[in-house]
Amino acid sequence: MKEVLINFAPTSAAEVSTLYRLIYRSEESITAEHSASEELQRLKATSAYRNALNGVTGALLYRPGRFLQILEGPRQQLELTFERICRDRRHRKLALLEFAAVDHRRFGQWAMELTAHDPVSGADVINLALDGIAGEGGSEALLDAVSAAFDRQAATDLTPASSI
Amino acid sequence: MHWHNLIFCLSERHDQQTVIVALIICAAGICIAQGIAWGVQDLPGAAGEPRWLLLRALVLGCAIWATHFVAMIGYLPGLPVAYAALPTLASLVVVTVLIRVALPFHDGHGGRRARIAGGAAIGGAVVAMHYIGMAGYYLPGRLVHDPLGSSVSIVFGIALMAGGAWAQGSKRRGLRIAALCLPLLSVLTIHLLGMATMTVVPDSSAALPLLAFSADSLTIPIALSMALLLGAAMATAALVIARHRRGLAERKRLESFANLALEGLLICRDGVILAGNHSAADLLDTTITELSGRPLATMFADPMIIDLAEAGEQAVGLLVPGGAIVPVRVLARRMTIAGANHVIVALRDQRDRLHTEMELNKLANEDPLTGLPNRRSFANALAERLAPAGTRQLTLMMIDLDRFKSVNDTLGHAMGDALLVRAAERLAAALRPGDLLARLGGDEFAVILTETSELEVYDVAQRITDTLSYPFLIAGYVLEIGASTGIARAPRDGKMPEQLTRSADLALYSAKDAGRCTWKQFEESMDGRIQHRRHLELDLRRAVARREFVVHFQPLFAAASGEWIGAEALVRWPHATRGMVPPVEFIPLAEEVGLIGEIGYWVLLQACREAATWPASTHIAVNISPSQVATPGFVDMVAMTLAQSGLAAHRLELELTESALISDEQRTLAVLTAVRELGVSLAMDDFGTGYASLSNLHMFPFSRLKIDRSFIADCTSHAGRASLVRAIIAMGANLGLDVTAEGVETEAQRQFVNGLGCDTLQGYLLGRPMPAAALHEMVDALPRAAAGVPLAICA
Repeated sequence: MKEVLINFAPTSAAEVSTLYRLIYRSEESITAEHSASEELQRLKATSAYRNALNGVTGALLYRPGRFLQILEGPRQQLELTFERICRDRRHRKLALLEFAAVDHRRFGQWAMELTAHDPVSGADVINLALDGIAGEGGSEALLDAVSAAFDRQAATDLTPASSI
Repeated sequence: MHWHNLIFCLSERHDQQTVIVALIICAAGICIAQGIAWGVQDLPGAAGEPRWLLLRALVLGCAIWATHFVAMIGYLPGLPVAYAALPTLASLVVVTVLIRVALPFHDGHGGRRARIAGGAAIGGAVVAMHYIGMAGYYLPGRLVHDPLGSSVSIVFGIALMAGGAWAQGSKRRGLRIAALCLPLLSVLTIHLLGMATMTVVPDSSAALPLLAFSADSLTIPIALSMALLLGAAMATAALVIARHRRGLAERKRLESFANLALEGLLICRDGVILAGNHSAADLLDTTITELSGRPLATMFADPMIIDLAEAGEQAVGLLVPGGAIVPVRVLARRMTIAGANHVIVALRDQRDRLHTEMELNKLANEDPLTGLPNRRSFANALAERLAPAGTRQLTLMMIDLDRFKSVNDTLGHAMGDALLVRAAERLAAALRPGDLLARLGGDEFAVILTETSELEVYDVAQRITDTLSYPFLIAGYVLEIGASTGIARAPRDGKMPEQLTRSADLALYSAKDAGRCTWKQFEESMDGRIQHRRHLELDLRRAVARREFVVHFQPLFAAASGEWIGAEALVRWPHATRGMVPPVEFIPLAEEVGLIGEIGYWVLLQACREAATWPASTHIAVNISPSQVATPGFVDMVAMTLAQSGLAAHRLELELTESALISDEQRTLAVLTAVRELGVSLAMDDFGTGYASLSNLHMFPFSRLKIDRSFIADCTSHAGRASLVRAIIAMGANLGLDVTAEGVETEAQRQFVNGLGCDTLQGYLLGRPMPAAALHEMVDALPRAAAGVPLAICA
């Protein structure tokens, strides 16, 4: 049985605006009425706008049926965003991978999206994470891999890598 | 025209005393008419009333007319004069009618110009009266009017009258009173200047009209009638005005009194609001001035309210500006104010009360933390949605948060409350529209789903389980709780609220046992009692098939002699694992599953066979259940058993409880009568615990009454019970019944019932239920034909 608290008290619980990073993965609900791409567009449109307003940035990775999202922002905003996601019926089998205070943002001031229709080459960590399997190196390795994947995508100019 | 003519005319050609009388009449008329005008002007609506206008016109017309004629009488032309009737009377009518027409303008309803025009018109009326009247003035000669003089008198007269009317518009009271001399001057100018500028040319040929009055004959009647008319007018006007003023003062007092009231009050007459208090004005979001004059009916949202005074207090909606409706209670009463019927309407604002009621209702039915329905309103909703019982399909889910208590304990109630609110929101998000979510208290929630397929139910349950298994991020903490859900579906798992709730609870326990964070649908195996019953039923069927029962016998003794007179057969079920199962546990089940006939027959046969081996003086009592009596062929079964066992019918006694008698009385009576005809006797068992109905004892052919053991147990310690036992024994004796005391356990009890004349005794003191062999041993040990006190025997 899990412990009640998996991630104990951050340094300053009262400081609601402390910068935090949140990583979760989830599966697309099979009962969703809309197609995956429509759903993705919708998700992007609503969450990106709201996140930008609240000072939340990050990266959304999508492979059909799977989501992985990295969110960075003020603690309270992240908590509220995560609560919204938990109530959202489009997600199932949602798992929180990380929720911790960080020194700086890894994903700048843009809310970003990476669509991985095909397995992202050389990014096994991401695919494993999307499948719900923690790769070696923990979340740091995952963040590095996601960063690298974005950089590569931007360099090869495959798809617009950032959107808001 | 010469001015000395005027002086001459006044001093030489007029009788000065008569002219003064005329002057007084004129002044009095003008004053009275104006007095009436002032008197009515601040009575609401009265100033413009035709009756007052007519009265004033009459007073003024008559006064001016009388002034003219009295002055004419005082005119001494030095010749004989007469008055033609027609112009004389016509002048009166003309002046009155013209004044009546002009008065509304004179009163200034159309402003200053209308006022001046009205005054001028009245001046014109005086002029018309004067010259029509002069036309009826006859003397032996001709009247020659000086055109200039006449014109001047007419212009001045009209101007003075107009000036008088204009002056009445003044705000200054003194000026208005002083200005009363203007109409007087106007009349005098028109008359005297007109007369002074007129010359009489004697002409003896001029003929008098046929119908004429002589001057002398007119003087006294005119003066008298004028005095009477003016006096009467003045008195009437004074009375009426005074009454109106009194009414007005009364209403003013009422209004100022009403303004102290918190309730809205309206004074109405003929369905129109005359006045209202501040509260009423506030309630209707208007002012007191705007209230008066509004029809009462337009205030209510419900147009059906017609006669308020007839109805009692009632709740209505009040229309207020802006389209809102204010709920009020309204009560109306009839009331007489200054002799007129009024209706007083009281309005009580219900907004505060309704709001309080709503708040109270909310408090009573809502969980203050989450705003969800609480246990109480959930129970109501469940009962409502389940009714009518047995027909409704619905699903009940009981949800318990796992590990909530440890969050509450380690992080405090504030965190616990925040978590509950978030959990409630996630639950709500997992449901579909129309589903009812409630917080039953603590970390217990419940959901009612209506009209759902099994798949949908599982879907919702899975969603609930999933969404609550996700972590909660609160104030930097990651809280992982989870939820267990129990599902019960009506009508399958329960038709009544209690039953369904119990099933859902059992499913919830099962989910918790299964390791939490999961949901379980109710299954019968979860219910221990159902399980127990099912096993018992299986065992019972096996026991019946294998004849696993035994019959025990409890001896009965004659109270007086202590002689052994028989025994009651009692069935026992020796169960391999349960031990000796008492009848109360398996007989109801046997009745329910239809095994009672078989068991009953077997017991009866065993008992009869055993009793057949006993002395002929003894009897055997066997308990019969209600459903046995109701079974067709019961009588035949009894007869067959007697034949099989060889027991004489009179030695068999069947014991029935009162509950065996209540259904289908006629049929039961027929069956029991048939049994009685076989020679078998009947005993009423457990008397006192059922209806203890005397009519049953009368109607059915009983020969024995067995007092229930609960009465005997208390009879020595409880005075009330003792007198009851005494009464039952006396009653049994009166009916010729043999009375048996059951459950005699102490010597004191035995002596007590013996003392009351009880016939037979049964109980642990004398002998417990025992196997047939033990009974044989016991009776063998008994002293033969024992007299007096029997030995106390303990099996």
